[in-house]
Amino acid sequence: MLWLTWRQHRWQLVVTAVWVALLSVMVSGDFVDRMIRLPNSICFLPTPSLFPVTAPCSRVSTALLAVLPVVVAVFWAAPLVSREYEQRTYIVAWGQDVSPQRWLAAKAGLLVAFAVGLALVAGVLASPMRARLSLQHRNVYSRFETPNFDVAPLVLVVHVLAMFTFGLAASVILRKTVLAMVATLALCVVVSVIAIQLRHHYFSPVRSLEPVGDNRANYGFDALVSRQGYADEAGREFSFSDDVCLGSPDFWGCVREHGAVYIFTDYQPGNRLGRVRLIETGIFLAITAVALWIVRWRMRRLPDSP
Amino acid sequence: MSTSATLRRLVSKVPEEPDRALVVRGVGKRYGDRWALRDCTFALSAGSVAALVGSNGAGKTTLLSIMAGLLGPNEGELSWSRPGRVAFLAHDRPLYRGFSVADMLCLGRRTNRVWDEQRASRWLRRFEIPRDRRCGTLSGGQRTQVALAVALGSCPSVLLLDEPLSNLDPWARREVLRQLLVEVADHGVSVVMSTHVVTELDGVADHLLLLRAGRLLMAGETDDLLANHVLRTGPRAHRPPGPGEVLWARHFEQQSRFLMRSSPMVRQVVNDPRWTSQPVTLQDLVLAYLSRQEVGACSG
Repeated sequence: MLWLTWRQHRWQLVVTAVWVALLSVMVSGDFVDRMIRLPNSICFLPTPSLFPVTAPCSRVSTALLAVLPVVVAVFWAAPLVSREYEQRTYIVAWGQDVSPQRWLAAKAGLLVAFAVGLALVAGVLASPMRARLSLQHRNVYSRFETPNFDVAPLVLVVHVLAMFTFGLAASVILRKTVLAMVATLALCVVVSVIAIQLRHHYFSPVRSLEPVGDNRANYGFDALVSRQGYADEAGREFSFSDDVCLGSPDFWGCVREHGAVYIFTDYQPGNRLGRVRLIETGIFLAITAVALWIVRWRMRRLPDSP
Repeated sequence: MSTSATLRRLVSKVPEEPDRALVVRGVGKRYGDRWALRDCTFALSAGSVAALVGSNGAGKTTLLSIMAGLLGPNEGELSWSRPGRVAFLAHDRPLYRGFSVADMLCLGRRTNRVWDEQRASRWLRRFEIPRDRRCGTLSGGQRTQVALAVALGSCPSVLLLDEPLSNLDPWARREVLRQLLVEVADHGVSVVMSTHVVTELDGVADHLLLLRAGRLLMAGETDDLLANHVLRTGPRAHRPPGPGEVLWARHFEQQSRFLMRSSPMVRQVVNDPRWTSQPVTLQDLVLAYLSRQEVGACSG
């Protein structure tokens, strides 16, 4: 089955491996460092934030690395069974001494092992650089935020496992390649959005209050900011749109004139990062188990299907 | 040799009937509300060549797919008398388009416990199929030969062929049939082949399975079936002489012809010099049964 898997999927494997290798170099070497020092480079992307900061190159390459599980799910897993059905080659594949269940287990196992290997290498290679960025660019670079959270080795690996299984389930159930790919993409996006939102809610957020105009936030390394806004003298939330002050020569003075005394920030502190990673890992492993059960159930029913 | 796990679920031993390769009892398959196959019962001897004949949509492919283990029947069961591999040639000859012919043989070698490279290669050489060509660039006939080579290389005890002659030229058709008979003789392979080319089955098929609208009209050994039918020609008459069921009748100005089912014993009783009796061909028999209106199973 090793030969068959390689022969059928070699281009997918090679292209993905090259892509991950390039991105790993970008997020792990001193490439990012050099890029950060170059003003006006394409790696400086303005971010819509209260603070006049720029996002370094690593954000783009990290985001591209974080979608590895989606790429693997859509382009490797979703066509795995559906293409065999569409081209009717399942008659050849399952007509030999290998049962459909064993065929799928072997092929999916080999592909997922390769993808997990890629995810581990990329995640581990990127780790030292991410730790350094987190120290050097506190409040700009946080390992708790998306997509930095998603490229931690453990998280990347469980995302690969779960999303690959989604692709497999869509492939086995829908049996149409394009339909399975679209459904897998939609499912991966929905699950990712929910996972990103849930990270704010596993623990009650901590609130910090900074005087208006003092831009030195003190919520520490690797925080995950949930909400920010203005507060009055008593520290209560204060409903006010600072758009009215955008034209003012003294922006902060204008904000203070409207009654805002503090800027409040609700956030998850960095010391919760490990626990949130573990919780998300557990949830994704549970989802993987459910999706795998669906795949097994569907494959068992195969001989009865038209 | 061993079958796939899928097939193994459908297979059980029939020790009381050692000469039977396959016994099919009351097999039926439904797609939604429509029965594609119903109440199909027959048995095949080991080392036999069975022709599966019927009109389009009669259920031939469904029956072959059930026998291949690719479809599960909704009712009935199949029993194989001895363990062995079942190889299936699908009517559209699915092959991996990006694979070369050599890759297809490699697939067979790596996914079967028993593989005869020489047998597969010999078949390709006989039909002059280049091993380095991609399957996507082969003609329909060449695809058939590659699929047959992979099937034979896996050393099957049963070969299920869905219209194997459909896209072959006349020489290839004759040669494929000849080589299949060699496989039967040399390796004891049982062959079940669906076909519309009934004229080429004379001397090849020793069993006939005739399907219409999902029902088995006739099943049995070809020699018995032919012996139990006769074509009578004589003066114009509404009824033929002697007993027997009339399957088909043609009346001309001064002559009538009847294709009848009657045993040779009964036939000898009729002694009317105005009537002549001729043996029927396989094609006569198939056409007579397929053109009948009513559907009812019978066996030779």
